[in-house]
Amino acid sequence: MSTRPVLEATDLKVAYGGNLALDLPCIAVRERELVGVVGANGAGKSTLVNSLLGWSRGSPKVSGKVLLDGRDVSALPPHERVKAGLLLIPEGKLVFTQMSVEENLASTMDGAPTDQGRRRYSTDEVYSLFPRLYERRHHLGSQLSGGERQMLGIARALRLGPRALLLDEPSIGLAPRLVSTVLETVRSLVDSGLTVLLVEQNVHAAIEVVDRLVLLERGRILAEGPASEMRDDPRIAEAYLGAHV
Amino acid sequence: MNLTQQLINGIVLGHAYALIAIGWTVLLGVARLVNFGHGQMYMLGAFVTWYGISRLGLPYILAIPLAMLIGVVVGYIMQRVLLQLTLKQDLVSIMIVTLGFGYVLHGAAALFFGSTGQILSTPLSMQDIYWGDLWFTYQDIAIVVVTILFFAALKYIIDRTRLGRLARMVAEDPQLAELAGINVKRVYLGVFAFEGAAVALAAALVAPRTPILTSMGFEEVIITFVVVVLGGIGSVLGSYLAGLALGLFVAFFGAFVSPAYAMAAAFAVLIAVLVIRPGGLAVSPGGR
Repeated sequence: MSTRPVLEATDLKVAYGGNLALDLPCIAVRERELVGVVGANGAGKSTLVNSLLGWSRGSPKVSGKVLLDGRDVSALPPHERVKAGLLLIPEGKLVFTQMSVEENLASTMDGAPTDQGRRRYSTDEVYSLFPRLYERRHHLGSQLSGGERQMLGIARALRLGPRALLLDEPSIGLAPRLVSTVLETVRSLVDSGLTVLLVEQNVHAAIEVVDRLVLLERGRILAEGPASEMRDDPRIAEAYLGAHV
Repeated sequence: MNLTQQLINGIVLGHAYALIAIGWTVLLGVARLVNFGHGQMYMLGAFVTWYGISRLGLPYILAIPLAMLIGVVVGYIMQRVLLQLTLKQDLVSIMIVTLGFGYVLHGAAALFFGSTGQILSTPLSMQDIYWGDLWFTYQDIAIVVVTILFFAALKYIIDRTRLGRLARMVAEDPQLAELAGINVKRVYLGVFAFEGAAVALAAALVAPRTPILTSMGFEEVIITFVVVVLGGIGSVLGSYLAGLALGLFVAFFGAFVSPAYAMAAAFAVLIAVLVIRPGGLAVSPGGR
């Protein structure tokens, strides 16, 4: 694994109406690395991935620097960061519900990405990765189950040629068996070359697949390290149970 | 009374209504926006066509694209001014600003074109066609044919092309569309420019049926409102059918009861429809 960060953010601060929701001196994801960000509700996990893309359904004040392959993308609007290869699969609404699976997978960008390290999956490749989507290709997004929508969300991102993928709470609303399937799929994508920052509340599921774990509490990094070392870290349980102050 | 003549009148009127409304249909469907300056943009389109023919000496076929070009410019400028309000979906402010834009256009047009009424004569409007007791003009045929072609092309673009898919994505969820790499602001600008072009095309085709005045526009906004709401906000096919239905209703109501109350009766129908079907006769986001 290369040590060069594909995605790096420094002095990242996000505030909603004067309240600081996130304050991170530095967070980095290296080439072909799967970094998990865990924490209790309100820890700032979604705020983190949204701010990395400069995207939000609210209007937060964001400061700090976001680098993609060393290039400062902080000043770019979200759609330009997407074109640069930084992709976000948000929590909740993942797909266009009024469109068929096929239409969801049709490209929105002209030409294939030419940047080094980017691979734009073809429709056939994402269908072979998610055979269920092929079976459901003529169905509307609104007709899909939660697991199928999650697959379609990931497949849509792969079609855009991600350099780094931000994945926000993919396990929400899924049956435990599906959670494992989705996370194992993410792991296999990383093994085949993708770089992923995974935000996940389900720490037990996440720790099984990630390389490194970052524990957030109240918008700050409480602990971080290799998944194998973090597995038994008492601070994780404390953060989730609210025992840590 | 000649029922067939009323049927022809209704069909022509209905296609005219649908064509006048289509820009707003797409605007509402894709950007969730209203434009109460729509009527004055129609007026401007009519006057630019008239100016092109009578002052610049352009043939009718070239005066139409000139009017559409001016419509694109006006629509683009309007959306540039409105962009922040658009992104915030501040509908009340958008209503007020577009209403204000309409008045500015009215004043500017009166200043430039004068306040006296004009006749927009075209080679088509001056050629009558008689079939027994039935009468219509080549202008009427042009309205029907162009409207059908325009709606068919628009339906095809929205349903089958990449451009249409991007518009539908923005219509459904502009923030999710951003995550697909779509420049939402550019789509909004494009939609407003399209509205300007579409209403100018409608004006160039429909305005020759009546004298034109710089004070006109209110009736066109009202008609557009009825068509767009009846058809189901954002539905291209719905707008076409609603325009046609409204045209037939106005023609037959005018013939059987009184033309003076036709629009009031149309609104009574609109209220009834909205009570029964709050989303209009057909609902499909994204202008489908």
